[in-house]
Amino acid sequence: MSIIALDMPSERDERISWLEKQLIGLELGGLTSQLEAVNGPGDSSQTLDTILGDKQTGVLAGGFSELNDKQIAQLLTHPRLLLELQECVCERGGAYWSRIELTAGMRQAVDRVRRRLDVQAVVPERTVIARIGPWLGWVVAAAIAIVVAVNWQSSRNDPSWGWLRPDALASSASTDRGAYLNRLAGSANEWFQVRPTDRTAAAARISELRRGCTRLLLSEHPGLPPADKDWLLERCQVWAGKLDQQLAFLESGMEASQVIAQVDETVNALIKALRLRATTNVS
Amino acid sequence: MPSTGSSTNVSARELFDQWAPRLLAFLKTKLRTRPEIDAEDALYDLWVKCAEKTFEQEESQRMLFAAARNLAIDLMRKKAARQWPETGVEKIDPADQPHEKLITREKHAKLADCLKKLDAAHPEQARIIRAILRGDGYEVVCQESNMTPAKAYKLKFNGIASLRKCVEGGGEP
Repeated sequence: MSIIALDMPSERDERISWLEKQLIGLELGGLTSQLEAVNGPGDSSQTLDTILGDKQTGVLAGGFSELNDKQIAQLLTHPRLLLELQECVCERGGAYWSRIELTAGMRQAVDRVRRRLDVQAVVPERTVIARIGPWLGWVVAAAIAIVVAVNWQSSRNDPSWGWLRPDALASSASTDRGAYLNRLAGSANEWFQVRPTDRTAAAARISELRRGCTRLLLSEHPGLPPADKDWLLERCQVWAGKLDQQLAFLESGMEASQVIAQVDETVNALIKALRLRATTNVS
Repeated sequence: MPSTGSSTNVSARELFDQWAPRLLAFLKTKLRTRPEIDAEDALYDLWVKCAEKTFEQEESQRMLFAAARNLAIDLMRKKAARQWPETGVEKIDPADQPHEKLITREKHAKLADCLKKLDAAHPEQARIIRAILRGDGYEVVCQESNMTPAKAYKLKFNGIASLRKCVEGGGEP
């Protein structure tokens, strides 16, 4: 167990961003009991309503930057209210809370559940075989094997993840620009779904990501205004350059884990940039 | 996996990407008093239980979190049902890990204890850490203590190092 409360930054902006991350993170229970151990439980007459007042809606829509220093301090000295606030943010919080960068622990935990669900998706086929009997079962199993083989072949030629997924860049002139940029960020996040461990697999995965960049660079993006499109192309060229360099590192003998860590950084940075851009107004 | 109605056309994967982190945080907090119940397992169960459901994107947040709340209550009830009715003492189950809960509680109590020790050994360090943990910024701390930001930073850094050592290793701050 880490003493997470001791990681709290002391500068206002950093503290706000850190607290927001904790509010939708996995260690809020630990943080609140640590704060309670140091600050005490606080005055029981204080409630979220009395502390947040008319800012409650603002927090749900736009985060803690709506609050003044006194309100933040009151939350820290009444730590149980952070748990209540988490519930409100989860159930009623707006898109702002979905754009907050996830902690590494949260990302890994979500990936683990996603992988289990992906595996679970093939189970019904086995159930059908069990029900219809061994002989017919073999016929069905063979048919499934052929379908799987065909799908596997086609997926090898055209990997269906990230920006290479057929619908990843689908948009029209009426598409909301923020939603589109966030969708691009979400697709890029699929990079983390597979963690190659050897150099060959890593090279294949990075090449697919790089091909996704090419697709992004050559697409029309009709849902984006010209300023966004220029920005996206300029950034994408930078990301593509980094991926080329990382691929070159891999080909020149660098360990897969080291290169993957570098690509992780690049992908995290580009996700952050896309999400930030999605919240920025452009003329 | 759950999906949204055809009018909105959002895939199950997008729905998962959008809500899974917040659902996991929600479940983790709801189940915090029962560390033996794994929040990741609960999220997996939730998604499987919602497998046949279809709802509009606008109501996906409300529906998913209502389902998550009910699931957490169910899981807690199942655990509570295993208590001895007469005494309220929980049956001993090797699968449970009550010692984990105790260790966590002990460490939190120890943080407060170590901070008290720091009060005695290095009062300035303790004061600045207490101020930060109750939400005061450097500017307030520096003003109140009449010290430079550089000194405040150094005191905080050293104080935190001492506290970590005390909590984790049991040494004096």
